Amino acid sequence: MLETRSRGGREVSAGAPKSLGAYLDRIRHDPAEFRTVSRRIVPQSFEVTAVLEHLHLRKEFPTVFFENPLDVHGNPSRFPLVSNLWATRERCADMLEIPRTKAGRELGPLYAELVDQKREPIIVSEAPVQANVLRGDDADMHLLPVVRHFEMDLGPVLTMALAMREPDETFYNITFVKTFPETGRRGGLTIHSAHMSRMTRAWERRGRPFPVINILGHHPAFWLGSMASTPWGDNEYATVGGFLREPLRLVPSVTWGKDFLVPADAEIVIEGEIDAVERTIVDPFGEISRQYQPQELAPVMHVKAITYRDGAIMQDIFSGHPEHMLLGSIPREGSLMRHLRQTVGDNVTAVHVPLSGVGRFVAYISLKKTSEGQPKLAALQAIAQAANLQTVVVVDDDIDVFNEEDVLWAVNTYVDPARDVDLIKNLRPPSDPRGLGSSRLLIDATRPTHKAFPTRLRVPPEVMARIKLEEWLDPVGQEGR
Amino acid sequence: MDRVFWATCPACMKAFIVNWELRHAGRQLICPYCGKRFLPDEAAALDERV
Repeated sequence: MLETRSRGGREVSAGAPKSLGAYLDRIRHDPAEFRTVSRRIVPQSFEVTAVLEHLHLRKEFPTVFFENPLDVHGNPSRFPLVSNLWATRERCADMLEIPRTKAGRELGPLYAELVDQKREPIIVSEAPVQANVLRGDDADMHLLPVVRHFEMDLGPVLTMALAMREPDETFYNITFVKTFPETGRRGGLTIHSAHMSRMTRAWERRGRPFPVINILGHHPAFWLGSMASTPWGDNEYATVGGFLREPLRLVPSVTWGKDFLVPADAEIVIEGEIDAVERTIVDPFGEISRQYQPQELAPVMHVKAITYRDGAIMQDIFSGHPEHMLLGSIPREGSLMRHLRQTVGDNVTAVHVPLSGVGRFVAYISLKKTSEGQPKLAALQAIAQAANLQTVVVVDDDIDVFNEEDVLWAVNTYVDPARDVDLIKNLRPPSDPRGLGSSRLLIDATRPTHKAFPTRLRVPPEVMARIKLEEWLDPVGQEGR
Repeated sequence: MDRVFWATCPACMKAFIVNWELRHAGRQLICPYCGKRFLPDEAAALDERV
């Protein structure tokens, strides 16, 4: 049964709460930022990811808006689909209202500042996301344009986040979790994060079904904020308010009322219950490491309702590609920078968690070294703070950590492997599907200062400043006259 | 994730990766290529190298 309520139009007015549609309106006129696919497309047949992969191979990273996808039943979906939203650092900065010119080394620390600017959510009684309500057999996930991403994937997968509340508490956790719809009303959930796993175990000990929601679209700052590393007990609905720069609006769910609040300005929300004991087969799935997560057992969600705003847009993430990686790397750069400033000192100048390490496994750190051994201390602090890091490279401040060629030059020029490379064994394995074990690699690629050592060549800076290239090069076509 | 194995589907003969927790769990695997359900011991081939 479809209930249509009068509220919740797609139009956006000044002062309206932030929404995905409003953000897309900001970028839709720039072809470098936004492209559309208006022809019919079959997400379950890899056609969405084929379009995105072609763009990736051309090194073009627009948000792509698929206007006419089919749903899992093979019918035209009522929901358009958007993907590749977070694929550039500049666009991520823009989403957070940070100047695009600060998308380099400044972005991580500016992100970290937003983590502290929590805003308590506000509760409203009516919400755009509940303009349309599907219940019973009509609450069918197969009405959605669910994407099958990679050839070994078990099937189409919803890639956005779940929200869950701790039992007997009022704080919520928001975590990206894959949902594998087995049928329209039942799906497996790959819950791996520490906080949501802890909540799940607490609910399961009670032996009864418990509530969860799947949020399938919101303003992009909502998602960036959901990736913040926060302590257990923090209400992540308040955290994302800091990133939205306005309180997150919440509304009682249609299934549990005030016992479970859902984001009022989301695009689509699935309300479901997780069975306390049931497990089902999920995966393989092409994951962040650009490898397949192995087939495994996972909890089962039974769908109770699907609600959506008028003109709702469904979001998807192009897994294992820049948007997936940047969603994690920018928050990690911020939290690492903050931790290193506190534990090593203000001489730590930049942190980059590069895409070559999929935004998770490698960190480049630059500092103004004050003593031999300090780079190793910084590397140890980094692996203590970020459990997924496998390799840490520390360089001098004159090396640009956002220029990988520069970093590797330092590694290949300053590093004596016998002295400057350390292997740390028998740590907890990184939480990732690679199965590489439990060791870490620390590389001190700073210029040795404990002995006489060559220095880096350079053209004198004052001459570089004096020579303006456009004044010295002959105009094209007038060479040698 | 400490250990994985590869199972080759007895129907379509394509191989896929599986967490070791499913090797002796008594649960049927699902081939991502053709949907065939089968126990690990019914696989056309297993790669269990460590």
